[in-house]
Amino acid sequence: MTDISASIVRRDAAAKISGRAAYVADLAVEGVLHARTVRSTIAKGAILKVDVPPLPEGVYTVDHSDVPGENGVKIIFKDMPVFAEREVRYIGEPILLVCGPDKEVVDEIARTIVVTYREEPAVFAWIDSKAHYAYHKGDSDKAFQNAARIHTETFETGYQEQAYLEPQGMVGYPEADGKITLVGSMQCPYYVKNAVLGVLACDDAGIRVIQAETGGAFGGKEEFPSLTGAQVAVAVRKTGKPVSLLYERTEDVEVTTKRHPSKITLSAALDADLRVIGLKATVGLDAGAYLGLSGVVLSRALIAATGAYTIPHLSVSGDAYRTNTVPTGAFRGFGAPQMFYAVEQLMGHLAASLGFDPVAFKRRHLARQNDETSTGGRFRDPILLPSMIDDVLERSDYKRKRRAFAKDGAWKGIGVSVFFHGCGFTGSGEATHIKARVRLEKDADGRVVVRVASADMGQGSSTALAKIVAGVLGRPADTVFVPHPDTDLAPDSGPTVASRTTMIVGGLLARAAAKLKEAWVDGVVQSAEERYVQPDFIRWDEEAFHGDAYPAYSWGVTAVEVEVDRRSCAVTLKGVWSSYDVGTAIDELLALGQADGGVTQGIAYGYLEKMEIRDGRLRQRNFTDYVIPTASDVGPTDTVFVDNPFAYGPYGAKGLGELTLIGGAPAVTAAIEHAIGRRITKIPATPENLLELIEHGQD
Amino acid sequence: MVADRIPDTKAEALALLAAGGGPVVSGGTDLMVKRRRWGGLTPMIPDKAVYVANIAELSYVKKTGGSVEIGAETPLAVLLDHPFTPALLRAAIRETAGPGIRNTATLAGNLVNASPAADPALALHCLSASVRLESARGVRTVALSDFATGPGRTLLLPDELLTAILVPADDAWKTMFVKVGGRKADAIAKVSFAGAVKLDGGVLTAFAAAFGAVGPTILRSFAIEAKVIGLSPADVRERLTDLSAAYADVIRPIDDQRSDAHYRKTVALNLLADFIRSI
Repeated sequence: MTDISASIVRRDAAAKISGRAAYVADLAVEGVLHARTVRSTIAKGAILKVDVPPLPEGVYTVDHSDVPGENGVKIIFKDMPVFAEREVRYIGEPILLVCGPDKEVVDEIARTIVVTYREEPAVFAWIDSKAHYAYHKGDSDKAFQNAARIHTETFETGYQEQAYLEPQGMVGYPEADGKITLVGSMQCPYYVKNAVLGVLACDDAGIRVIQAETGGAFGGKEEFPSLTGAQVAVAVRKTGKPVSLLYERTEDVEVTTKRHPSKITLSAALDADLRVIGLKATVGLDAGAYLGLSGVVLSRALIAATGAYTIPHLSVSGDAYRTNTVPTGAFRGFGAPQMFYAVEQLMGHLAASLGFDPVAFKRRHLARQNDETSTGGRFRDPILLPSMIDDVLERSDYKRKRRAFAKDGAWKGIGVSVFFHGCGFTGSGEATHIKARVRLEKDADGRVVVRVASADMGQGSSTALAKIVAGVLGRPADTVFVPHPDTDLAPDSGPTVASRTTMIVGGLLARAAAKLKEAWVDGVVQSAEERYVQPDFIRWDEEAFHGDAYPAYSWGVTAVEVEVDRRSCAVTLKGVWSSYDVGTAIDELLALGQADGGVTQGIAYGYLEKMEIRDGRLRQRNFTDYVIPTASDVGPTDTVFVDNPFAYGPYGAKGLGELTLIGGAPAVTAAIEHAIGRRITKIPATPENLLELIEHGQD
Repeated sequence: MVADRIPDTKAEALALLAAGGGPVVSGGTDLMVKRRRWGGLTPMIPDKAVYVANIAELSYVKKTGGSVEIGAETPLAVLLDHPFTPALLRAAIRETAGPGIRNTATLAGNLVNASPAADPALALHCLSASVRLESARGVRTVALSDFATGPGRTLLLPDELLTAILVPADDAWKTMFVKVGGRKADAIAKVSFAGAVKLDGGVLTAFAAAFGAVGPTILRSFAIEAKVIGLSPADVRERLTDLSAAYADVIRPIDDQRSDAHYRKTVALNLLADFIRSI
């Protein structure tokens, strides 16, 4: 363990433990108007009429006609309106806000507003592709023509809800100079700012966005707050008063983005030595009613088509389909969890049908340093998977359990997944779209404030970034401060997404800190700035989907042991063993928190968290019915970080946040398959599904 | 004023109910959720509701004659640790909700809420418990098997208060409680089972099997139970197929957002089989 990995007390610990931390619902704003959203009750149709009862003094409605600029929320496109105007496309789509000082009155008026629709047939089938990508490598047709064996399977994955601590919330208020300030629970203050600029049609100085304390986000607060931010800004502009829009949990679950359901068909071509030499992948994602980030999610899924393996001949294509359902969006892993689930299952099933141990079969295909990536880039850095696998097998006692459980019909099983995560934005996103900037501000007493747009949303980035800056400066960590981002004070260092904060933003901060150290004069106010410059070796052709999709890759191996109750098919986790290569762990306890939280969320995605839509309406709308794990459901975890410093990362750090989720679902599914002796192709593998498999499934 | 509706004594509570007060709010853990509104607004509970959780005289556990008598306002957390709590009820309470809810939730609330998925109610059903219903007009005792008439519906009249639960005290019961929830804590049962059996001289002298979340009310079949009285455990095991078939006829679960009918029925019968094999 390097010095930087030795843990310090989290920056946010005291405020959170004492209850002082101010989340968005804790903000007391004088004279605030409480906003309630009136939403579509149908999946598709035209709005014919909106009947609003006479409004008491001081109560307002805010709808599309109040939008001064463009009625579209900029995410990548502006395809989603701030308020529905002539048509609605999903149940829960916002039509207007009711705002007033008295919640009782606002609630009553929101309930009595009648929207008349002309209903149209809703589309739930995946037929309307709004994003399509494809790429090829080698000669997959030839590989399939000459194959000794071909194996094809289709895998399905369901929705997953982020289940952050506090629901979405945004508060806005007018400043004396006409500026509107927004404070909210969010990951990406500049996403919110840029979306609102277009909606208000104002100049850069017209909007200020500040992140409130945020209790988890997991991608759910990446693009969604751009919508609530735009709505609140329009309401503040119209009323001239502070406006607070706080979602209830059920409302939040019903209308906010979640993980894309997927259907993935994989065909593998094997040569005479029983090696997978060719792969064809067809990927479908349900984007919901608006495309949002779905195209980018799709591209990350497609790039991961080979899993952690090198397969020379590839043909990969995918579509994100528009349906009349709640829009899906960013969620930790961003398309990779779906793809890795499918590939890992495919490899496991192939191994079983060929008489291999699944781990032994996977080992035959592992990507190695200097191999070509799926998109013809290169894995430049050392890949430690073989020794990581050895370590996980040994700690989990895999070989003995694998034999013993199979023999005595114990309804116990153990499974292993191998995976990676591409760190940072896909392709040239950092250089062409984000162009991150950071600034350090030193006062006369030598205190240094870190000005970045990165949001600490519970993952601990304020602690990690402080450690990096203090470490480079050679000064105590408690002289470095990382406030919640404020767009009036911090430059745009990009969104807090894509496992980029430590590696990219932390890397820029390390360089800025080196500059500041060089120029350091005691007793003088000083500052230092840095901006992102793409390393020369990264080359990515967006059109051709060719080249280095990521500057670096983090790697992981996870083993899960389960016991299945033979009466109820209920799954109990007996143990979770993982090994992760994140370059360098900047703070070991923080990293463990990320790892154990991530793997738990990933495992739950595989066997527990079930969300279905019927006729456009979610069936599980609260945490009674949408089952996320409690502490009683989590098995013991045993987690190791291996050192493999990345030359371009601060102290050698690579991405961490998303990696740890990715191996959970395939590992737990493989373990359940081992326990019940049936093949699983659909997650979540709920007890109801397992019963069905036991009664009718395939060995 | 709400304060007027928080009686300190049973007599005051009955008087309020006699004067048209109600509904009764006990621990509130179901009602507060069902009637919740937008955050910051109080739940939609009528002004004339009567809040009985403060009535000290209704919070007790005692042995009387052949019964354990439990005051209706005794919190589940107290029952979890009380030496007189029947083992089957204790097992059910251990799997009910989480510690926070158990600190305020009561058996009375659990029974009057009349959910077929309720955990403590399932154990009490299996133990042939009864409830004491009091009003200004008088007192009556109703068997739990008759009390619930549907989801959220019971024989309780608007002026009546459920004041006590009477459980036949018998340490000779051999019992099993299994709750199958979506997760291992803070869950609502997808299907649940409570079994109780008494053996004397190598034969069954009593047998009870109660099923949760497989119909509109908790299910017990006295007709099927009567068939096994007097048999030896080996005889009962031999008739498992017939017994399962008999229960399969009366277990009629539904599909909903938590599970499906086929799963519920299959698992309910698996749990029954498991219990019978354990006798």
